[in-house]
Amino acid sequence: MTVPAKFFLQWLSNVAGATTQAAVCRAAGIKRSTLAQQLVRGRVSLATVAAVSRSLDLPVVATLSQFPHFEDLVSGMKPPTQAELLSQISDADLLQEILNRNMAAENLTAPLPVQLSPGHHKSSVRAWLDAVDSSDLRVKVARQAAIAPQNLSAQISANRLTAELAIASARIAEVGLANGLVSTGFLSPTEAGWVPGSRENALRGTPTSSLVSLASHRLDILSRILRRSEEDNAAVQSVWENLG
Amino acid sequence: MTSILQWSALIVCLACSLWRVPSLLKGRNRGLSWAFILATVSVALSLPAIYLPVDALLGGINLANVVLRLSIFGVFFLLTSRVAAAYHSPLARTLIRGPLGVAVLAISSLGLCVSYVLADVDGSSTGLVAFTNQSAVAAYSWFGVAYTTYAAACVVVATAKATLSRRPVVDRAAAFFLLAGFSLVCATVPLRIPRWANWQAVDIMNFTAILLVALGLVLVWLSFIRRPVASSTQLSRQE
Repeated sequence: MTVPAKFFLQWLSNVAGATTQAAVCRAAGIKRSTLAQQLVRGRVSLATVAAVSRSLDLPVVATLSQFPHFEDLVSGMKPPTQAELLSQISDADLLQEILNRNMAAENLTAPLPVQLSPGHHKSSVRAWLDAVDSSDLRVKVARQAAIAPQNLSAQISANRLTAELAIASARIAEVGLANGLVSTGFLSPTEAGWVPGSRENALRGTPTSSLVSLASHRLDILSRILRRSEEDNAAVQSVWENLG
Repeated sequence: MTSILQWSALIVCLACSLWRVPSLLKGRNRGLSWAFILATVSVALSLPAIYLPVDALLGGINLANVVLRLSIFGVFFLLTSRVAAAYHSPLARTLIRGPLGVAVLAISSLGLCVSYVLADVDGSSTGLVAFTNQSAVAAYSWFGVAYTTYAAACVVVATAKATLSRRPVVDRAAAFFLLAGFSLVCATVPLRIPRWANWQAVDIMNFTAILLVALGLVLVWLSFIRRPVASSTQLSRQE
């Protein structure tokens, strides 16, 4: 996912004035050659835009919405739903909360609060899509973006989603447009306008039964992923055993 | 062209045999080491420079050619049964190691020996090219091809599946080279039919096949050498 180099340079001269490209790169922590190459090809990656925007202390979402195709990003921002917040909590943290509550119920004490691991987790993209999916979201996204469904699922399996697809998914699911970008790790929750501590509050406020059923769904997916990777491993091992 | 291929196949087979000496001593996949030693013997015996002195030692009655054919059978039996096991193809393994495979091997070997006895092949000639007008020699060479083609055909599907699977790239490349090698062996059959006979093409394909199979196995060994060391690393990788 990229923005046209022309627009990027225009924006850069607006916000950074006469700062040289070398200085911009140094501040943003990107290689000068990377930026130069992107400019030559005429397409600047969103990662570059975000890095430069952060280094200039500009809100990333507001920056992005100055580029074509992203104009409605700011106006489309909405606070995350309960399900979206829970989707961005890792499997381990979810299970820990259930265990803590269980323990607390047995000992008749208040449950220990779980310290949530920051940012997106190992299957955050899939969890977010599941959380916002009302019906056939993946099919609709693939059709709208004109990509093959298996390309989409390959991205999801790798816990990736291009910004374009993340925004398109959010649009179809009618949730905050920047929320998918949190699940891919492109934006931090705060950058997407999520109130700090909202994941923790969502977790505390969800009844244990819902947490358990969510955890069981997550474990189902995990077991499928593990089985696949075990099968792949076994195939490789068998080659080594017989031909190594 | 053919002799360059032959000599490079010999060097590659010899190098692979030497590479496998430690495994042979340690007892790791001995069959594979023997397959390469036999392959080295058969490639060496297809070169006049080696065939003629060896055959002279054996009495100058082309007994060395029988040794060549039988060691090729050995190579194919050892190699294809392992490839079938490696790529999880019980059917191919049964077809090779089961009663049918053993029967094909026995009939081919027996036919080879009988037609050799029936043929009049006095006087060393590499590849028996001096006697091709005899029908017994024609039968001899067909028996020689029968088993190799059968065994190679058995593992084509298994290696093709592995090539198209979602394994790591090195493994898929290895499977692809094995597939290419075994397919080439099968593809030489039509070129042996008198009407379309093209012996130079057959030779080129055979030795290319040897090189391809050796390359595939070298890739397997490289990926084996680079395998994750301890089981603990594997566990953390799976997460």
